[in-house]
Amino acid sequence: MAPTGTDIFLLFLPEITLAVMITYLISVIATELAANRAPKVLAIEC
Amino acid sequence: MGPAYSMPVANNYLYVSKGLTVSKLFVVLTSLFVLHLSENYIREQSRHVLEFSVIILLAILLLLVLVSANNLMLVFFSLAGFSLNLYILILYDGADLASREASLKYFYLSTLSSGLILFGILLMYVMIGDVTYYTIRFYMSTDIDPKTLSVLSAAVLFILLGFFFKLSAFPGHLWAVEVYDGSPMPVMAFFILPAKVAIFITFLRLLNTGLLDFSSI
Repeated sequence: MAPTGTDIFLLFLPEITLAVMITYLISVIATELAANRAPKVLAIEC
Repeated sequence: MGPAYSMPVANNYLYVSKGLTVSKLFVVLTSLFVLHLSENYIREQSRHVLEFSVIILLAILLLLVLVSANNLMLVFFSLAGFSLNLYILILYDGADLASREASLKYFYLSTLSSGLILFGILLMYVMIGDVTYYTIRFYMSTDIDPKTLSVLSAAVLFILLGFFFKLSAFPGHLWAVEVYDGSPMPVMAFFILPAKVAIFITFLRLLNTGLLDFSSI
């Protein structure tokens, strides 16, 4: 019997979990950059 | 999960199976738990806040490759890459003298064990011509002539010794304690639980290739 999509999803669940975590981290980095770096850059320009 | 699908993927370099998925899931979940616990530590260190998480996630990725590896060279590369991440993590608080000492000791220990494993792989490649688990298992089940057997025994000895160092077993246990002592607490937790579990699973998979099963003996 050929593996179904669910089987493949479950087989690669650890990698998918890690990918989700990396995506979350990238979003956190983007948020931090937007919150902290932008005002400093503006202050230097002013 | 439905039926167990055990198959080599990525041109025989990686292997996926139900048991390995459970092991990898354990490694990922414990690593994420350690990452969650280290939040306070990261906040105390005002510098390099994001790098800690990035390096831990990179280390988890290499641990997953290590557990799935179906080729000895891939095992070596993922072990070496994982160790590189750990040097940085142990030296995360660079102002602390104990951290510097622990990082240097781990560097020596890890380099030595990687060298031993690489030399064992080299000997095995010279004798067998391939370092895929499947080929090793097939070769070990055949009749091996005594000259080849002596070189293969040396290869197995080097690989086992290297893995004992990586597992902080007998020859490396004295250094391991000092490395743990000097490491930051979250790094030590990461080092002890997910990393050791992944290396131990790799070690078991390696033994399962018939590394100790010489039919001529």
